[in-house]
Amino acid sequence: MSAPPDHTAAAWIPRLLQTTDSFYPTGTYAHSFGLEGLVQDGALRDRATLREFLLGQVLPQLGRTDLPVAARAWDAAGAAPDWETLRSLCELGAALRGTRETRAASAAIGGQRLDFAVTLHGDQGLAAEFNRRAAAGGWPRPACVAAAIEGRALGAPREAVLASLLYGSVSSLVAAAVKLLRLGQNASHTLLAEVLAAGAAEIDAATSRPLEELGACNPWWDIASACHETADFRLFIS
Amino acid sequence: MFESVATPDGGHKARATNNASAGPALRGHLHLVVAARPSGETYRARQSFRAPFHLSKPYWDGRVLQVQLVNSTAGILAGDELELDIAVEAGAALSLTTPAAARAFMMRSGAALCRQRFVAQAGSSLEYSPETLFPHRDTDFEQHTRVEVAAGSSVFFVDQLAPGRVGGGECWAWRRLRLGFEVVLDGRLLLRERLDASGAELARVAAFHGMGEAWFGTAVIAVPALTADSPVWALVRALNREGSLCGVTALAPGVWIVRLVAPTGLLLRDRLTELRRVVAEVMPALRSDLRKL
Repeated sequence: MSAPPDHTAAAWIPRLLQTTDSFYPTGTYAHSFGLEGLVQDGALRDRATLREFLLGQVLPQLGRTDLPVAARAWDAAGAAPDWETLRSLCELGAALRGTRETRAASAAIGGQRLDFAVTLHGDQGLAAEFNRRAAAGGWPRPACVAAAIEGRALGAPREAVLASLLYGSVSSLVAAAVKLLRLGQNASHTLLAEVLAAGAAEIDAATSRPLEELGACNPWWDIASACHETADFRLFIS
Repeated sequence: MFESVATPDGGHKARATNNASAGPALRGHLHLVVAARPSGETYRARQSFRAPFHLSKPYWDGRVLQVQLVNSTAGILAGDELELDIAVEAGAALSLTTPAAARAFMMRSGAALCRQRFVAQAGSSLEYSPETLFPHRDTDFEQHTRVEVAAGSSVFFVDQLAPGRVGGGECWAWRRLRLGFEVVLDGRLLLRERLDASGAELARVAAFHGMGEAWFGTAVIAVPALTADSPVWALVRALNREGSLCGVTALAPGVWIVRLVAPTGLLLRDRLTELRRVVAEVMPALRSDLRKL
């Protein structure tokens, strides 16, 4: 007779899926993370240019910023959390954003996610303790560290947390693009699937990338985001 | 290697220290600390350098101490390890420039490394306006730059990168560039950027954004009490014209970063000159003539 399925071991799966839901209350839907600026300046025009941007610029940037920071934060948030490492990762995660709007977006999403994690899971867990220390120490709460903390609190393995972070980052850009470009559901989801498949390599690399090698540089993206701050018309906050 | 120490009468005394290390590659450094006399004049309080670095004779123009940093060799070669450590103490004002472009030459094997740190203490003024870095064909160059700003200091820090020796037909031909850039405010990391790309990789990104050739400029600007509603920013944003891109954003209250991408080196130079002139409205130290032809 086979053993009964271990539902407890898989309990983190639906919980982690819930955090990537488009109506999870983090406010992600209100941000384009600089995408609107790139549409305004004409760099992003259609599915083909969006595809090139996601594969050639977004994925490499995630692999050198949010994914490795989240991997380290997950490691540091174990049974005996290394709070000093988590503090420095919060600082680094915020510093890796090159413009005011993208920083504010990351801080708002990370903060809302961690606050809601306490609502869902109570004020005695990891997220609650993290929030108390962040508030006391004035730490920023970037979205990548928030994803790691909540993933740890849910009992999700590191690779699953990174995969959900990758999914959340790319899908939010694609969702923003649907509102900014002529892009249908089939076209957007086939693109999302292609980018997620390609992103697996970035997840693998993220766990071993040295800390001193973290950081990205894309002046065009940063300039588009900076110009978005004072744009006359805009759909998104960032 | 020589070390220069300020004397009580306002002069400098040079003394030889240990000999330069043997070997084909250069391990050069420049450590410079400037401070303010009670009269307000800035002077070199401490200085230590080793080839290839050399300093011009400093000139106090009544507003800032002007110093030119000279690389006495033709450029940067494989195996070179260079270190710059510049500090401006409270009340002092330094304008540091270079007379010529920095060139990272072809490296058949190996790489070159430069680490540079700039510190502006509270109440000080620091301008760093070097010429452009030109990465040559097949070069492999790594540079780490850290700008440490204290609240209450004034900083105008410029960094420039060319796509290559365009005049010689080379564009995006370098093997690998690793350019790290950090800005720290009162000990807290504000910004970390890192370009790690071959010339071909960056060329693809430039082409995506409609540029065959792209010249990059970055300026970190810290001026106490410079707020988002200052009329300066409208003038800075107006640099976004005629094919050159410009964006300005706040890293923290009083600390800003301006990014420029221009289709030619000449246009980038014009934009940076205009930026310096505009920011001089709120940072008087920039009103000094850099004494360049």
